[in-house]
Amino acid sequence: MRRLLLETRRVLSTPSRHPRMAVVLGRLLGIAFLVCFGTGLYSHFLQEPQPWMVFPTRPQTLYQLSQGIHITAGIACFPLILGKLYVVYPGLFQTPPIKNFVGLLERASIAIFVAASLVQITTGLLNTYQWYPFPFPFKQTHWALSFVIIGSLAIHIAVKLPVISRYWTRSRSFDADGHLLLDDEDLPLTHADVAAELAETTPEPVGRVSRRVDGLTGRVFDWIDSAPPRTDSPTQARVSRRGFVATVAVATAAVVALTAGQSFRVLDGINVFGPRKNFVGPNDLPVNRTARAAQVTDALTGADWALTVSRGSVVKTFTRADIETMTLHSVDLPIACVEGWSQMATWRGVRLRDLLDSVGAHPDEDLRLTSLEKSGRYRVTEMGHEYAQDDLTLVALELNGDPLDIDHGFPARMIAPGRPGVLQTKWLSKLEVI
Amino acid sequence: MRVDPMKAWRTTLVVLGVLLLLLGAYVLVGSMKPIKIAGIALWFVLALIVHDGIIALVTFGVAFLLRKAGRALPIAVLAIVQAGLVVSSIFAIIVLPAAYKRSIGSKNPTVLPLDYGPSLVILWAVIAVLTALAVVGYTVFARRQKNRSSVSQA
Repeated sequence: MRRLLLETRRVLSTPSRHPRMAVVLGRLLGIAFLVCFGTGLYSHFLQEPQPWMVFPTRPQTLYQLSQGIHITAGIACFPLILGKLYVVYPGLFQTPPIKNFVGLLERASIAIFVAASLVQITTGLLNTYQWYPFPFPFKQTHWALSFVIIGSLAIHIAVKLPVISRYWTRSRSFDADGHLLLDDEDLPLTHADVAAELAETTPEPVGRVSRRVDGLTGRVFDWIDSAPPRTDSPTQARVSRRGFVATVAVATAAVVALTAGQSFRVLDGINVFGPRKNFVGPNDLPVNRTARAAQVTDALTGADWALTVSRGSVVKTFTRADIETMTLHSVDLPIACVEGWSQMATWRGVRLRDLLDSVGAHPDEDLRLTSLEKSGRYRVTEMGHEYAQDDLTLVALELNGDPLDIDHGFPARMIAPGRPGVLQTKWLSKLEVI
Repeated sequence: MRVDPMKAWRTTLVVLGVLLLLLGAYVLVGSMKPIKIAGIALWFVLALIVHDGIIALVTFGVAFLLRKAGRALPIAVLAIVQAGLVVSSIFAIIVLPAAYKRSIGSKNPTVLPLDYGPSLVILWAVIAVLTALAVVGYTVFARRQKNRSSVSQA
């Protein structure tokens, strides 16, 4: 077993599998994870705020930016994490597999770290496809795993801190000719190392190990040795190493470039693989939840529809025609979805503040919004006064020059600066000052 | 008493990490039934099997076969071919689920509105062409360098 692990580690060594590479990729991946964590926390608290929380309403593209970065960084994690795992893969076959109790905890934490990270980015990606083929709820899991991942990241950094600090700088990792400077314990295993390690536990002298191994295992290793990694010269090793770095860089840049157009307009032209495409949808805008999915029918939104606005015992109702007679404003605000896609749009409607003034609302009072939809987490939501009083916040009737499509919230919907799309309540029925 | 900064950092990070792990576990237990948590555990195991058992093994196998087949080729050419394969594979991992989901349909026509499968095939073709061009470019460059000076290009 020991021999098998040692031999496996030996044949897995390649020029790009070394601690400096692990540190370089680990840094990038760590940054991506922290960016995802930070933007994720922001998005979470926008949707489930603590009572004392007040959020900025400017720039109005703030959430578009933060959530676009969240999803884009998440997609960038695919090549980065696969690259990182490639570099450290031989570590899976360390000998002895478990050294002591602390070693056991360390390996367990790595297993959780890797598994949680892979599950997190995979289910996150599938969520942007609105596809849930997994046996657990997405939102709660994504939230809980974010702490598991950042917690295991902290432990991982603690464990590896000596290696990280040893290989942090270029000057300590390479000599003047650009050749890697590895400490003795970080050098790739050779035949001689394997023999020496085995000699410690084997009484008889051990020659070139794989030749001595009988049976299938020995033959497999011999066969693998027939094409060892090309590290005959330091120059070859350097070409291989740089090729690896360039590959990860190109892969990361390419997956970002060909998907991030769903969040960033400048890349829309090359958005080939994004799960959403700007201008595709009714009113030239994608839809997160259709009227059909929300069970909002023409009967509910027909001539009988009216919006109720209340503050305590003061209750007013507004038909669509009533609202149309009020002062209407046009604003440009993005729809920015938690799933990362976003698009700027032109909305026309009445200022929310004007409606609230009609029932005598105070500027520091929050609001409860109710939608016509039959069920769903966001049927009833709350809006902080910072949004309710904002000049740009509208109860919109029109989108991009036409009446709202029913999938975009006809007869009337909320649109406010810097909020997640799920809180831009569609098919409004009730506004209560609280 | 002097505190070793390395030790102080490591201790802080471990404490922070354990607290966050506990918070994660607490949120998990508080927000879903045990059967769902078991589902997450199952996916953890599957993720490790898929990566450590399948993706890593296939990567090793392909790299090995490339080395064997390309014994006489310059290392840079091997690196370019590997790069083409890796980039193609990463796009496969990200785009194939989208193509599949699109094929089974979505109730919302604005989700996955693009032709993911055909675009992926086109992208693979583009990568293949770029890889071939890079190999040709490198070979021409290396030959010129060799003619200019007698330095080996490995």
